[in-house]
Amino acid sequence: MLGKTYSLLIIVAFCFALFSGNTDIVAEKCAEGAVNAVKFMLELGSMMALWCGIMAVFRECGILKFFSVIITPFTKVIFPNAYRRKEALEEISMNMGANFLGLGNAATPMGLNAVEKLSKFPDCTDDIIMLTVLNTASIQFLPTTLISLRIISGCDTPYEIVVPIWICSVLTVAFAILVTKTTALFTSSKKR
Amino acid sequence: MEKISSLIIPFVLCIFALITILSKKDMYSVFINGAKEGAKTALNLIYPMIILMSAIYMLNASGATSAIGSALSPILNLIGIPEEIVPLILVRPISGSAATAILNDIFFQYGASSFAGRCASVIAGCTDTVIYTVSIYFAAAKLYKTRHTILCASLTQFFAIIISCIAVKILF
Repeated sequence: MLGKTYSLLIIVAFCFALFSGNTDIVAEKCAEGAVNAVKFMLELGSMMALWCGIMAVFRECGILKFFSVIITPFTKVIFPNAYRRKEALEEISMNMGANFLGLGNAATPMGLNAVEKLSKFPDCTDDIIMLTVLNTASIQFLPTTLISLRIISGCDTPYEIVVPIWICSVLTVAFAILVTKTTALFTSSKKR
Repeated sequence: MEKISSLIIPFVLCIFALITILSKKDMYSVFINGAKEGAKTALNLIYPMIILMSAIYMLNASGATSAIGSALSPILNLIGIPEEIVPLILVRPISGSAATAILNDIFFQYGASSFAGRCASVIAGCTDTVIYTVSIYFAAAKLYKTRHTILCASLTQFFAIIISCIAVKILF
């Protein structure tokens, strides 16, 4: 499915390039994309190493356990299979927490770690999907990059959008949970 | 506000340092093992990301994104989405850095506190790069069938865009 999505993107790009005569730029850019992918993943890799190391220490001394217990009522409903297996709950809670604070750099390592652990159990795929969808629409308490962009552009009221973002984020996350839960009902009935 | 968020990360690292000093266990080697595992996950993701980034760069360079944008803008305009932010909506799901560039462009062209600027801000604040997120999460889980993920993520994104425009209209 993902392979097909990429292939579709490439074919569309090729057709448009033929049309618009941008073939030389497209040729140059596809190499640039590959180079940037490696650069980008090395950057993410260093963040992953740092955060996973710190999280390992926090887990060792029980801080993570504390956090995952706090959000238990949430995980029980949203990630039922992970909850039943008591698997990756700490990572999920840290991923949610980091997203909430707008710390994307820290949230991704935790999310990926959670997904990797859940992938060992075939009945947890619904939970993996839920975590992925939730990460495409997260509650941002402090949208720092956005605010600094607004300040740079010379805006007098850079913070005015914070409250609308909170409202919209909450609604979006609620919508995401609802949609994912409903579609999961349809797809899993076929499976069983 | 910004002060608070720039404090959080150093603060977390400080807690980590304190634990390492005070604990009787060898926390340093716990850190090294955790870090190794994290780096391994990221390095395995390089290969799927290469094809994704190449495809997206090609798509942007070929002019496909902007062409689709101008074709769609009258329809999107009908449901209350301002024309100025159509390029942002199209790029937001596929490329984070391109979306930031477009956002910046909207702020400079129309002003960050114009209707378009506010809509763009709220959209950028409550959505994320769908293709990128789905790709790395599924690559990390070693799953190749995304099942209903892309459908749900796209629906969520679309909902976020519409609700953002409505919220800006009501609140300002």
